[in-house]
Amino acid sequence: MCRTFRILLLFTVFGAWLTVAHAQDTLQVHGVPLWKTGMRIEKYCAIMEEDADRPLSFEQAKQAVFQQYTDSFQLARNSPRPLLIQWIRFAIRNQSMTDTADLYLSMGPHYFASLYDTAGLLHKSGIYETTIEGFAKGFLPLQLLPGQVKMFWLRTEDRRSHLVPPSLTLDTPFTCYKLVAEGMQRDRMLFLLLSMLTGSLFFISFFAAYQYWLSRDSSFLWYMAYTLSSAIIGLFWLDIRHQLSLYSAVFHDLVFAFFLYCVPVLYSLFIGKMLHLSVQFPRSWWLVRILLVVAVWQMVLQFVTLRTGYFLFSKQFGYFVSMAPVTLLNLILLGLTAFSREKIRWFMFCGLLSMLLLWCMPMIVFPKIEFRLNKWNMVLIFLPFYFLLGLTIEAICFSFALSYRSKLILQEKNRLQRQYSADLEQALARRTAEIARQNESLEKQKIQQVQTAFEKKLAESEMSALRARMNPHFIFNCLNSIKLYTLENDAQTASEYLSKFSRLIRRVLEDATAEKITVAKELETLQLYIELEAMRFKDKVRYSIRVDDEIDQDLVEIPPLLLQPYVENAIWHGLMHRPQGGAIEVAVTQPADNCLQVDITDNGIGRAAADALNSKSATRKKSFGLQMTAERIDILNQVYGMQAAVVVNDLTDNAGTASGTKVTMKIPLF
Amino acid sequence: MLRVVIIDDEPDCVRLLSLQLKLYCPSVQLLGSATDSEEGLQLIQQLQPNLLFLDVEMPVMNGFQLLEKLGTIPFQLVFVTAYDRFAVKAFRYSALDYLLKPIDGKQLQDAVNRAAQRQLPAQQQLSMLKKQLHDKEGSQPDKIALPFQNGVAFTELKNIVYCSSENNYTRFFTTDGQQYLVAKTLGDIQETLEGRHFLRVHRQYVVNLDHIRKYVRGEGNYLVMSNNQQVPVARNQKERLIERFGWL
Repeated sequence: MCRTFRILLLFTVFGAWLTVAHAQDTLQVHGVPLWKTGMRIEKYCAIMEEDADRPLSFEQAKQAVFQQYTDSFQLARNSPRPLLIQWIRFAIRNQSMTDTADLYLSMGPHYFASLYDTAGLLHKSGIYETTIEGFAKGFLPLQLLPGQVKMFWLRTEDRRSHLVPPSLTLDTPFTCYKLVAEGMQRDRMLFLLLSMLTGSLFFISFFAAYQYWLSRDSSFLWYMAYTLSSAIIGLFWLDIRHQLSLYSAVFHDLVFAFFLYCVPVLYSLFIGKMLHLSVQFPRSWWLVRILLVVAVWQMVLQFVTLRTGYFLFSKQFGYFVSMAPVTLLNLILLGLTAFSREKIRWFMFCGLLSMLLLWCMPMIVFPKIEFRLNKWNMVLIFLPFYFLLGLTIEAICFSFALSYRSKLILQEKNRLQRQYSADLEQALARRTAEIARQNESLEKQKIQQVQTAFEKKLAESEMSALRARMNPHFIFNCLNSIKLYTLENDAQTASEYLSKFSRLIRRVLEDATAEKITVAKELETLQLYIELEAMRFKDKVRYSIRVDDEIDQDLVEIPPLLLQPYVENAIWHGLMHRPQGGAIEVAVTQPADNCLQVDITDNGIGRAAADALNSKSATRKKSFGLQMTAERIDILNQVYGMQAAVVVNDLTDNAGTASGTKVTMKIPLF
Repeated sequence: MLRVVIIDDEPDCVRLLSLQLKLYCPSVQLLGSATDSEEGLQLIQQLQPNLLFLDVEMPVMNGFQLLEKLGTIPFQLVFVTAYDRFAVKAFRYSALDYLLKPIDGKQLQDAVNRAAQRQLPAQQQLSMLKKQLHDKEGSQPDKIALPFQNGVAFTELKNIVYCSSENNYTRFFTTDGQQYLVAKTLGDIQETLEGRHFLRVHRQYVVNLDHIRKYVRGEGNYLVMSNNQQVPVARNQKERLIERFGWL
C-alpha cells in the first residue's frame, strides 16, 4: 500500500516534470477537500507576462517561458500596451479515484480573466466582462475527474495602473459560496450608501433639469450636468464594486477618462455662474478658464492613455500632471468663493470645502484604519465612497445655494415690485395731481373765460343801456332843435332845451356805470327824457309820473336805465302814430316789501297796429332799445339772482278796440 | 329856380330847415312843408316841387315808403336824417344826396347847388336804394351807382379796377375799359368802398385788391393792375397792403 503510493507519487512527479518545462509543483487534492477557507496556491504557480506588441494566442502562450510566481514579479511590469496580460499556470491532481473534484479558482479583481486547460478556454470572468452574468465574477470554476492531473492557464488582463495585489486561491464550492455570501453580507452597507448617494445625485440632476427647463437659467444647466456626471460616476463605482455588469469596457474607460475631470469643470462653471466670478474677478477667472481647458485636454489624454496604454509621463510625473491642475483649480475656486461678494458664497464655499476635504480625507484616514472585515469597514476602505459623498454634500450645499438665491431673487423681485409699485403709485399720484392741477387751472381758466365773457356782456349791456337810452336819433334831433332856437334867437328856449339835454346826458352817463341807483334818480332821468321828447313833438306827448307815497324814493334802489326804453317805445310806437298824440303814465308802487312795480301805460295805437306799421317800414325796427333792455334784464337776473319780470298787456276800450299798451315791470328789491 | 318842399315829422326840423334855406339859399323858393307823411304826399302832388327834402324817420309812413307810394320821382331828392348808418350807406351806393341833422349851412348850399345842376335821379337809383334798405343788416351791396356828367352808370364793384383822384372829382376805371368821372372826392369814395376789398394805396389812388396783378418793387413801388395800368404805392401804405394780403 505504502509502496504503491510511493510509486504513484514518483510517477506523478515525473509526469509533472514531463508536462511542464519549468519545475513546478502539482497541487494535490483529494476529491472535494473539506476546507474551511480557500487554499492559497501561489507557490504552485508559474507566471508569464506578455511583452510582445500584439497579444499572444493561447497556443503561443503555452510555448512561452514561465517563471516561478512571486508577488513582486507580478507587480513590476513594463509592457507598452494599455492592458497588461499575464499568464499564470498551475497543475492540479485529483488523488481520489472515486470523487470528481469541483473547485473554484478565486483570482481577485481583474478587468478580464480567462481560464484555459490544455484543450482550450474553459471560462471567462472579470469586472469588465459584461458577457458574464452572476455574482461570482472573481471565481472561475474548474473540474478534475477522479485521478486526473490537469494543467490550467489563467489569463488576466489589467489596466497597468490599476493592478490590485494578486491573490490566487483555490476554493471548494463551500468556501466559494461562503466567501460570496460573506462578501455580500459585508458589502450591504456600502451598497446601500453608494446607491443612496448615486440616487440622490440622479434625483438632483433631474430636478435641476426641470428647473432649467422652467427658468432657462444656465446655472441650472451646469448644476444638472455636474450632478448627472457625479451620478454616472457613482454608478460606475457601484458597477465595479458590486459587479453589476452595467457598463461596457469602453464606457468604463469613458467614465474614468472624462467624467472624473468633467465634474470639477462643471462645478467650476456652476460656481462661476452663481457667484458671477467672471465679473467680480475677471483676471482670476481667466486662470480658471485656462485650467478648465487643461482639464479638458487631460480628459482626452487620459482616454488615449487608457485605450492605447501609451504613457506620456512617468508614473510619478503622471500623477502630478493629472492632479496638479485640478487641485490648483479647486484651491482658486475656494479662494474666489470665499472672497466673493455674493450672499450665497458661504453655501458654495461649504460645498466645495466639504468635497475637497472628503476627497483628501482618505489620505489622512486610510492609513489609520485597521483592516477588518465588517460592514462599516467595507465602507471606510472604499476610496470612491469619500469622493462620492463629497460630491453629494457639495451638490446638496449647492442646491441650498440655489434655493437661497431663488429666495434672494424673489426678495429682490418683490423689492423691485414694491419699488416699482411705489414708483408707479408715485407717478400716478404725480400724474393725478398734475391732471387735477390742470383741471383746476382749466376750470379756473374756464371760469375766468366765462367771467370775462360775462363781464364783457355786462359791459356791452351797459353800453347798450346807454345806447338804448341815448338813441342817436334822439340826440341829434335834440341838437337840431337847439340849433333851431339859436337861429331863431329864442335864447330862453334854447337855453332851457340845452340844460335839460345836458342834464339828461349827464344822468345817463353817470347811471350807465352804476350798479344801482335810487328810484328818485331813475325817475328824474325818465322825466327829463319824456320832457325833451314832449318839447320836440309839442302837444303830441303828454305825461304823468306817480309814485306811491309809501315808497322812499331816496332809499329804494333799482338797476339804472331799465324804464326809459319802455317809455321810449311807448312814445314812438304808441303815441307818435296817433295824429293827435297821446298820454303816457308812469306809476310806481310797492306791492310787497321786496318788490317794486312800475306800470308804464300809454293810450297809443296798441302793439298790433304798431307792429303792422313797423312791418311795412323800410328802415330797421325801433325795438332795438327794448331788445337790449330785455337782454339786460336777463343778465341782471343772472348776476343778482333776481326775478325781474316784464309783462306787456294790450289795453282795449269798451268797444273792444285797442286803446293802448300797459307794461308792468316787477323789480325785486334787496 | 328850385321849388322846394320839406317833409319832416318834427316841427322843429321843418322850421330849422326853412330858416336855413332862407339864410343860405335865398334863391330857392320854399313851396311848403309837412310834419306828417300822408300830408306830405298830398303836398308833393299838389305843388309839383323840383327839390324835395325828405326825412327818413317818420311815424306811420317813413320817407322811403312815401317815395314808393309816389311812384315816379320827377324832382331832385335830398334825404335828411339824424342818424342812420345803414341808410347813409345805401345813399352812398345809390349816389343819392343826403344831409345829416343838425344840418350844416355849407353842406345845405352844396346840396342845393348839386340839385340845380344834375339830372333827375334815375328810377334804377331808387330801386337800388330800396333793395339795399330791404336787405338784411350787414349785407353788402355788390353794385354802385356812378353819377357822371352824362348820367349814372351802374357798375358792379368787382368790375372797378381802380379809382384815381382828379381835384374834387374821382375817375373810375372799369374792366371794360370805360372811365367815369364822378363828382365826388376820392376821400368819399374811399369811405364808401373801403372794407369791400378796396384799398387806398396812394394819395391819388384807390385800387380793387382783386385786380392787382403784380407788385413791383424798386424805385418807387407800384402795382400792375389787371388792365396793365400801373398804380403807384405810397411808402406808408405798403404796410397796409401787406396786412391785407399777407405777402409781398
